[in-house]
Amino acid sequence: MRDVRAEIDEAVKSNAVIVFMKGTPAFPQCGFSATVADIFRRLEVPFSGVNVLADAEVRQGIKEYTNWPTIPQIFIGGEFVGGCDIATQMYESGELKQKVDAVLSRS
Amino acid sequence: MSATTRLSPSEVTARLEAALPGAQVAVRDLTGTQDHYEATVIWDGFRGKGLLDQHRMVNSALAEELKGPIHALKLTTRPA
Repeated sequence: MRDVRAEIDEAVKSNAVIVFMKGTPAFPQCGFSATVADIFRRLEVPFSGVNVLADAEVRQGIKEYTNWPTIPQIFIGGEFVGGCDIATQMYESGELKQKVDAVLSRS
Repeated sequence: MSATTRLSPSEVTARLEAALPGAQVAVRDLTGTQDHYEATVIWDGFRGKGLLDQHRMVNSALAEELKGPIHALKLTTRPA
């Protein structure tokens, strides 16, 4: 029997920056996911994308994992950061760059 | 009213005002289809809380709706 929670946990812990999104980093299929992909492109931060449209169990499992109702969901350094709105607010305040730089240990 | 029927902007506002007493709430229907909303919530109860917790509080006030009728909820929150 598939343990989706463990799979999510593994993915979250083994990627510096990971986004559970609709579509892929190169081809996001939803405005909010596209905004997040664009933000990381501007920060020149490579990130792994998990396409929840391709996996219904992960699409539901991630919402339970974080107790957060919407997609996309962003993790930096294994920590849940939030969705598109929070990423946008953090990007505009510079907090997102700080967080990413710390995790990627680059200045 | 089951959780599948759509909410008007005033219903979303009322629900948030009830859950966050004293908050200043501004709600906008982004697409005119009552399922893509933007909400700005300014509330003293957010003081000392990170953005994630602030948004969680707003999301929990609309937990049922976010499972169906509300497809997207763009949030801007800050303490009063």
